[in-house]
Amino acid sequence: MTQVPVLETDRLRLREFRASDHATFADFVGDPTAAHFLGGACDAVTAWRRMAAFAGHWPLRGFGPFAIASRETDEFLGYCGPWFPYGKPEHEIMWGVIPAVQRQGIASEAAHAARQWTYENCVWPTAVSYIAPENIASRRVAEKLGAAHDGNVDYRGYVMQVWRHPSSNTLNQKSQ
Amino acid sequence: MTLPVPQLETERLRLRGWYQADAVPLTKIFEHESARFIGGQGNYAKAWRVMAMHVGQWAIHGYGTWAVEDKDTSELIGFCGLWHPGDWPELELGWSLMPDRRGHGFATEAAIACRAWTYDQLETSTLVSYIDPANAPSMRVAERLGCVRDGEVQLSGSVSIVFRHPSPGAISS
Repeated sequence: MTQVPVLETDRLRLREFRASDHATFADFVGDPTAAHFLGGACDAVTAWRRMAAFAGHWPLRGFGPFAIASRETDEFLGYCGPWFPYGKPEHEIMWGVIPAVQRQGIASEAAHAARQWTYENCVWPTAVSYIAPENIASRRVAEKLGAAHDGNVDYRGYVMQVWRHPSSNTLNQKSQ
Repeated sequence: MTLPVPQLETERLRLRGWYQADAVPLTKIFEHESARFIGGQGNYAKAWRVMAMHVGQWAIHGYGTWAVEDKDTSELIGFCGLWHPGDWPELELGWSLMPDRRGHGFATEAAIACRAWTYDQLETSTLVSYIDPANAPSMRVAERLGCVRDGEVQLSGSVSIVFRHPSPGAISS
């Protein structure tokens, strides 16, 4: 079976998706408010399709989104990681955190670890995050990660802001 | 990375794990109007995600669907196997063929092999197929597989007929 690496941060464990994550994931992407920036609310079976596509991205591409879990309880808190399905213009680092634990810095903590893993394990000179212009919370996460607004793209009929992450080289130079 | 999806063979078919390149022929299934029975129509980008989803089911559950190819030509002719979204009432056996490969008994042939593998490998003594009442060709496949109608179920906002497969004992006897 495909080995999805496990990454640990202060509060979080980034790990593979499990069938038991589906109920919380379906509640999240089925909530019209929470899912507003995720392409709109969807039903539970569509949530399964999305979650399974996240899991299937790993064996197909060699990288993919992680489930974000509480390091303490292993409860599912969201998803985060490298994402490059067919049709996306550029390699993306994406994230989504369930409403109950938003505004606690979880998305940036997870995305930071996922980006570091990606730069260390994949040949990505750069990465972007596509963010809806009205999604203030996600733009703040991008800013905290050092990303900068780099124009807009039209994706599946929506205007999305492109937030460009510091390159692998830039981050390496900073840490030296 | 590859997933160890077991390969199954029948008289005319090879059932195997998914390759990324399968998204190209898979698009033909999703461009056809009958894709409304399997989650909706779409283009190549949709087919890619569907293929990723099928791969992901094996990663999450350790079982899932197989890509079905013609043994003679190695062409992808459809898919068949287990479909088990998190909140599905029961483990489902499903199938879908390329529009130009229907009507030759391939779905029945593939489903028999998947069902035999399932009963052999998983701890289940029953399987269902949920079929849209408007999907007459699929209902004929279910009947050929020895399924019996077992009520209806509300799934994703629409009603499906439950076709219950014979138990392992009923098939081998």
